[in-house]
Amino acid sequence: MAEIDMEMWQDFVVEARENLEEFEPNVLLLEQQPDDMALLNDCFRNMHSIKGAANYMGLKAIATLAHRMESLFHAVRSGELTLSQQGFDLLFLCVDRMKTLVRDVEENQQENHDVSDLISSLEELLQAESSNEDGDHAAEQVSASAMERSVDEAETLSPPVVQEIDEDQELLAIFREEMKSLFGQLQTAMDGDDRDLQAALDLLRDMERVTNYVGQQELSRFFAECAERVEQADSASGGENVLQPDKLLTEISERLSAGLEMAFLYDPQQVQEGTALISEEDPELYQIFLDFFSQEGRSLSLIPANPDMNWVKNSREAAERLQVSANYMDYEPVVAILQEWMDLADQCLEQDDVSVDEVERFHQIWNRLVEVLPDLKGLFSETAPGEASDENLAVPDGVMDEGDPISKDPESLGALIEDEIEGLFQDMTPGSAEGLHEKDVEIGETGAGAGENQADEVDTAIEAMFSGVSGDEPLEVDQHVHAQEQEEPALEVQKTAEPASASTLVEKDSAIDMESQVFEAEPSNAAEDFLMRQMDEHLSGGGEAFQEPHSRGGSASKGELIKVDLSKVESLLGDVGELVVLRSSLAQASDELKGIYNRWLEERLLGIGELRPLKEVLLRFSENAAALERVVQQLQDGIMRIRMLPVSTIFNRYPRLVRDLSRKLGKEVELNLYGAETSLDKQVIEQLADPMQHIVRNAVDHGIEDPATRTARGKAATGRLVISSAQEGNSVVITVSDDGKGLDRSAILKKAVEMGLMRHAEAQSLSDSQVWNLIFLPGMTTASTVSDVSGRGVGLDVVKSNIERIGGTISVSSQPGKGTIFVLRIPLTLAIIKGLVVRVGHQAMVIPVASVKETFKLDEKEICEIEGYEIISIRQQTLPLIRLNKVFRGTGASEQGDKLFAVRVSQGSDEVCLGVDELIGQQEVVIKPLSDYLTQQPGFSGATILGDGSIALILDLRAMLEKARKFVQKKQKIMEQEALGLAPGEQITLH
Amino acid sequence: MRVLIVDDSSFMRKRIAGAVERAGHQVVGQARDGQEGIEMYRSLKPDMVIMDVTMRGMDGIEAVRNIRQVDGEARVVFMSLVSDERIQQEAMKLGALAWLGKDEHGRLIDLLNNTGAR
Repeated sequence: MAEIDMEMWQDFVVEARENLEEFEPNVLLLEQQPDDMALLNDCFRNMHSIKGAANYMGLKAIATLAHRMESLFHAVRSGELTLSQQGFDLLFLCVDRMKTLVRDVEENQQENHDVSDLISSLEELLQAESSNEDGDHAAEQVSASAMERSVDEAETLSPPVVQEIDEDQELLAIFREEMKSLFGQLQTAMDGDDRDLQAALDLLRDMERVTNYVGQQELSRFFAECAERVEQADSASGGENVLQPDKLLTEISERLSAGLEMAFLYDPQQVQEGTALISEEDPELYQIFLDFFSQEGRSLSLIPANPDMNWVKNSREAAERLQVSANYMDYEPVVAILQEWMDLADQCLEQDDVSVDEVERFHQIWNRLVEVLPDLKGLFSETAPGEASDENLAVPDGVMDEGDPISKDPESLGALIEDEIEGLFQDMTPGSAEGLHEKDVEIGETGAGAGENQADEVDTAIEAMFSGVSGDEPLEVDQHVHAQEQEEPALEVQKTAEPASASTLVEKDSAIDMESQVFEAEPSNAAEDFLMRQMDEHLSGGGEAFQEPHSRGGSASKGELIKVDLSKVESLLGDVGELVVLRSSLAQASDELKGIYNRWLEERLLGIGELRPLKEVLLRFSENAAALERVVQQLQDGIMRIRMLPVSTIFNRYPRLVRDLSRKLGKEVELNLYGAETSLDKQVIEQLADPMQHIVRNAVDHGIEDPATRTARGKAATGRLVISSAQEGNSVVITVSDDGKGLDRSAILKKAVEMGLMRHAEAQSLSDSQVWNLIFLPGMTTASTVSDVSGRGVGLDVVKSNIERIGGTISVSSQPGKGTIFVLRIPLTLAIIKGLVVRVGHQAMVIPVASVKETFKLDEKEICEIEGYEIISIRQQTLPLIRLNKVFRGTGASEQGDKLFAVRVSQGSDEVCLGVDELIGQQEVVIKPLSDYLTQQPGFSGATILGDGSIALILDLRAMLEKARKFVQKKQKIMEQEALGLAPGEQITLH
Repeated sequence: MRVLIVDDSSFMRKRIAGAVERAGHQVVGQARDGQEGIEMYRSLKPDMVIMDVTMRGMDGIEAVRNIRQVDGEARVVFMSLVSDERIQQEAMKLGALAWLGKDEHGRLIDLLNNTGAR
């Protein structure tokens, strides 16, 4: 065991986490698609990987647990075990425990939790299932080699879906695999110097048993015979010579091919006499032979309608060369057939003519050759004589014809060599549409890997196949349009990490469909209008959001990652902030220098000759300042990108969360995630996690009804929850929509009246959107039952304030009985904002541009005073005016004058005008956090350094508007009191 | 000796690379799966390939089969925890020099030290 250092622990933790992060969503998917071989393989590999590393580190608990889980997946893959829901529950428990253990390791470099309970449960599960089996050797030994093998092959092995003879097929597949494996072992046992006759004997007995088990009595007897022969040879001295192992093996292989073929004879479509005579146990050699054939045998495959003597001569030569290699390979039937070809060719050459009859005979001979070597068909088929070249060998055929593995790109044959042997049997296995689909993807991968131009061709071909659904923009838009009317089947969270594929688009459609349901009815007011617009944007312009649905954990394209301490990035960002400031002051200095130069020039303080060097320097200076600006901008962007994380970091938790919740609540919920790759600043993401979780919980707990209720209301029993995210300018829009019961207007209003927020009559006059927004107020929980899922303590008010703390907004819209949609608008980053720089007295302040609605010059005359409060009217709207120099008294007195500027800002539903002395301009500012003692004084969220080196404070609009809101409420109260003839209440001062 | 490591676990790659480099050999490339392994083999022509078996996408056995097509002389050592003898036999049939466990660095280094560069 190598020495273990800190770095190794870290590596272990990182990789174990990666594997678990990939594993958990895959298990979730597996619960939906238990037969998905690719998923099973991935799960298996994740555990295998963790086991390996844990063993290396001497972490017994993790290693044991991973090992057992690996075995479990092994058993599932081989069809010995079917996972029940309890089985999945157990798997999730195991995942959780393993996570805990990994955390132990991270913190203490040791394992502090026991796994024996889980181990015994896993063992029980494994044993319970295997005892259901006949206990037959065949079932236990199933194709372990194939199990360890690649995804591709396992997919090939998996029985085709939905066939009447499904079970038989499955059994036969297992049987064939088993026989193949046993035969392979037998070869090894009989091979050359270290021949182990005892092992061979055991293997033959196994084969006898297995064949007997599947009802192949004749074969079984044959193996019994073979076993006897080996037994005799073993006991007799020098008996090995009697045995003639080569002869025995040949005999077995022949009988086996024949016997296995027989197994399919009941399927009339599959009857093909005399096929597959060649059984080659050495795939590499077979491959070489096929390659050779593809080079040499072309003239044989392309029989012209009116062959000339040249062709006859060429084909004869080719046949001769092929015969030599076939002879070397001991492919006797091939040798014989090629001989016939040569004889026929000789005959033609002799008579210097090829009759129609003879052409027909050439065809017959070729067909027999293909019968014996079915793989030839794929090598040459569909290739017209004119375009015969080694580069485009039947690639399109490979895409279309999934039944024949060899018809694929010849370059990648090596990769498919296992299929090759299978090919012996495979022609008999009916394909299915699904198989086709999987194959295509497979070809794409292998083809691309070969790095040849075939890869492109294959890709193109695949694209062509999918072109009906995916493709360019207009097509996509088209899809969206149709999505409104057509009911697409619901799909789960993306099944595999395929390239843009049919299923991707189908999912898009489902999501859109769902959203269009929510908005089926006409929007009745501005807020919903706004939401509608947003959704429209999503559907048309913001297509990005739906481009890539949440892909399976850990996509294949994942690059190498390094782990960096966030504080290092932060400090780097700080430095860049300084650099931005320096750059600005450099630009300013450059301008000033230019001013000086111009003055000197104008005032003729120096002559033009004397000024020339200065001018040159100036030019260089300003050029470099401009270049610096560019670089600094890039640097800043780059560093910001480092801090960016995909929202999948939090989205990834939801499949599990939703599963556990719906299990607990007895609901059926399907979760669709979109735009999980959208990036957000790490800091923002962290702040977003809790509010989002709350909304998701709410949706499952209160939104989506239980299956019975849903059915009664004429909805699908399974509820849908769609979470999507997309970038829009400087913010990210996240929507959470469910097709549940929607918000209850009357319940919300009742509660609001109860709480004394408003009077009954007032409540009735509220628009829907105003009602929906009430749920964000403290104390507004309308849930009639307290559940341990959503609880009752924390309301949406906390969610709202958390979202607003990170500069975001949240809004909600709902259609009773149809569903609810929450829309969150989150700034990309907290570190840099676009700000409007204003001057208040002598102090520069920054107002986040995102909140600025408009700016305008304001005449003192336009300001009305009502009870000491200033208000202004803009386009029939009355807004409070808050003069910042009055709010922040330390800024110094405003210049005397009758002009001031107003900045109309909004946050959520609040809107006010801020009075400032001057509008300086708009710029991106890097936010520097304020020291603690400053943040105790609310009103500012941070500070920044402006280009001239002066410090500007960044306004905290939320706090600002909070004050304004109270102000308005008070004012309303006062007005009411006035109306009642009471004395005006106390005045509030904004300080 | 110029060594190419093919393993889907970065943890394992690092460990193996560390051991190889400490023994004074050069790790010329590290691939994450069979396909990448083949490509890197083509471009790097290493003296030795250290190959994992269970990997995403193309597995080690397939990769070696492909590599052998590119270069019949390719030298390969499997490092894997797969305990299935049939797979091990299959691997050895492909002409691998050895089948080692994931933590058998000692044997790996012995092998590297005693195999001449090409």
